[in-house]
Amino acid sequence: MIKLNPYQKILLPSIKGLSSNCPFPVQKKIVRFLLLPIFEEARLDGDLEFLSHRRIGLAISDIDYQATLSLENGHLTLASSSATERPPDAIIRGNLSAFIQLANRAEDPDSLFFQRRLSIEGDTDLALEVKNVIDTVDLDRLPEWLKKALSLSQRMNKHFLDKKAF
Amino acid sequence: MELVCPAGSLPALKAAIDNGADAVYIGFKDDTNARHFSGLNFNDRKAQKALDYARSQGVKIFVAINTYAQSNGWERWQRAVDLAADLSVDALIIADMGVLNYAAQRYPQLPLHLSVQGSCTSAEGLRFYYREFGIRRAVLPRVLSLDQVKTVAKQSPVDLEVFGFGSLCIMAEGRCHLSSYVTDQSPNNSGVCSPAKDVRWTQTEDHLESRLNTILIDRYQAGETAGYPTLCKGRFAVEANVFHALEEPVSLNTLDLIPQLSAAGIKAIKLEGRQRSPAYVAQIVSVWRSALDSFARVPESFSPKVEWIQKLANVSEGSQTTLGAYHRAWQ
Amino acid sequence: MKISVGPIYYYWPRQQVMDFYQEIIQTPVDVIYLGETVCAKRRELRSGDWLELAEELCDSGKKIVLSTLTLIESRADIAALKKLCSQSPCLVEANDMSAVQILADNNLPFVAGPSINIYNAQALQVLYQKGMQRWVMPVEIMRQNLDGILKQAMTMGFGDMIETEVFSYGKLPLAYSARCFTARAKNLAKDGCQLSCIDYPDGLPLHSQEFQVHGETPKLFTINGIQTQSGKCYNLLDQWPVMHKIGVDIMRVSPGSQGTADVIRQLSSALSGASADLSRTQVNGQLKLISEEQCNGYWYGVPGMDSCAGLAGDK
Repeated sequence: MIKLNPYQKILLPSIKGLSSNCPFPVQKKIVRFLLLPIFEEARLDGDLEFLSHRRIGLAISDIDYQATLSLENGHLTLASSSATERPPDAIIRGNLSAFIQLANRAEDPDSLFFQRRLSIEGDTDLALEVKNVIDTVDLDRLPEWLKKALSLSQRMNKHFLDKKAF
Repeated sequence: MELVCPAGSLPALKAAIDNGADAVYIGFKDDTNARHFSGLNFNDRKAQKALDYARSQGVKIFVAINTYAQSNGWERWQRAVDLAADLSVDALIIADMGVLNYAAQRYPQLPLHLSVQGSCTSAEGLRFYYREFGIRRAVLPRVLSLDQVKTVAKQSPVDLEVFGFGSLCIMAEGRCHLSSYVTDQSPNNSGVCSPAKDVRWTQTEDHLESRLNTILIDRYQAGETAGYPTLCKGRFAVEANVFHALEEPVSLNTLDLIPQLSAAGIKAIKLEGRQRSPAYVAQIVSVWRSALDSFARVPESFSPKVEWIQKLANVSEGSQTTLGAYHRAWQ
Repeated sequence: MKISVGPIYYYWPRQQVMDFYQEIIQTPVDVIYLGETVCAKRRELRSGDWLELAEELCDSGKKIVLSTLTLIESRADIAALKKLCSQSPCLVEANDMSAVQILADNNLPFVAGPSINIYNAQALQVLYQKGMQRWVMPVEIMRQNLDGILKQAMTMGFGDMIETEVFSYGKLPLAYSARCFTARAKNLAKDGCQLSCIDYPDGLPLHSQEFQVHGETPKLFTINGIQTQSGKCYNLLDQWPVMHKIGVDIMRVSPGSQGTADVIRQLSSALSGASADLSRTQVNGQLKLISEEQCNGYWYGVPGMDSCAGLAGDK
């Protein structure tokens, strides 16, 4: 019999449930709240301009969640990814664990890509720009609460999500 | 030996410095450097920040202006040299004779290094750059065997820097037009190899396919490690055999050679990867710092630790590492 | 406009090389480049033989130029280079900065070959001041940029003092490596390569994997020892009026095992006004060799492997 680990039993279904049941306006607020401080410097440097009129999708495969991001008044925001909208110009796809590691700089995106834990579809140049902008974020300068949230996510990942732990 | 580390962004630069770089090389945000990728590199404000941080930690900053100045944009290369001189960086890494000449005439005090893109593989060639432009250091292309490196080092009029780790260029750097043959851009004319604008990844039923301007570079089966879609590392058909006809997607790793390179009088080791993330930079710099320190402590009994090799393999293209041309059998 | 024939990139048996030049001196070619530029291990003709051949051909009334090795790796390569530079009965084409240094040191004039990276007039001037009389444009440079370089050279006051040569016909030399890809394809180590490139008088074709699926697809590259060439044949012959206009002095035809003399004759008659039309289709119809797939993209600033129709106003 296959033994389910806590990741498969509880955590992943919970996150999946939360994200799929969360109404879009609430999602949008949360995403905005999280992204604003992270990309503020990049925005001021004009490093986000490449995203105007373009849409980047982030697909988290193991929780069936896909977010489409684009610019709204110069700020990075969650865009509706309903069927009526045009599809994202590029999609970065991976498991939740890979994204958490990326956000924490615990793993290098190219390495994840070589190992097939991340994939890119569509406009490779756009995906590369997104990757490079994420790389320019100075994690040391983030607000304390965000740093704590990130490191919590990393701990959670290490103990529950990263399946190498089991 | 000096450890020269890559940075494509400020966080990467901090990662390099915090993990023990002796010098960090960076590029400006245009086609004057050979990692001209979207969203990468430094504008003048970021370059100043980089310099401030490096100075506060006693680390050198080199600026790579290592593409060939295109005739319709000469001023961009001139401006890059001017900007670097204004910042009073520790050295410029230049490939183009025209740009070298400009820098040498205009800023005679500014140390110049010949870039690997200058493709200079002999002491005679180095003498040219030394006499004409007063270069102080040259980065050797990754085409020479260890014995050949030793020979050049013995007769070189300038200090030598060699590649220690990173993606492997199998062609003589500065002498490869494969990328512009299939796309319109190459390291020499645009500062990029396999530009992302022409790269497409497609998941088919059985394979992950990579294409460069519609040309199929490779097909990967599920679970097979992928590589950069560069032409030299694709799988092609020659006389009906499909294989990596030019090179496998592997990375160069010369930890093993530290004692020999040091004995040969090599002054600096360069790590490749300005296009890579801060996480990558932190990992490779910390390994190389440990290795060089360990060698400095007890040179006689140096041998690379398994964990170092493991860590480097983890971030390598194709997850393998090789001695490249340094190992004669490879040539 | 003059016509040159470039160095033979492939490894041909000695007799084939001799026959080739016997045939070539009968053609209206103006400049003949010869010498081993790809691999130092090839031995059908050693450097002494090339020197001898150069001397012989000097009597043909053609301008002879000795070309040097492109990738210099060992002391033996340097020794051979020094010998060639000091004993050459004729002008030398430097294909590496080592050769430039040796020639300049001896106050000898030289030609900068296509693998010397000259992308702007400033670099051109540096070499002009060291004795360069002629340069062969790096193959990936587009027409507008060449035009810009030559105009700038005029402004800088040395444009009239040098000649410009453009690689105009043949498989393009694209890359050089420490590794031998012919040996690799034959599953041989480079040290034990058995000089297997002698079996491929026009190189070994490399295709993308898809050729098996769709039948015939164009050759992507051509493997020639440590050199990688284009799969297609670069053809700028019909561009001679444009080249003439922007100040190109010499058009280079790169040797293939067949038809090179015909290409030279064809180009020559076009240049002398006997047949003005060298458009691709006509060349295609007349010469068997040229039935090989063609490209001209670099000249137009698009991917090298592409084919562009001549732009309006070109002629």
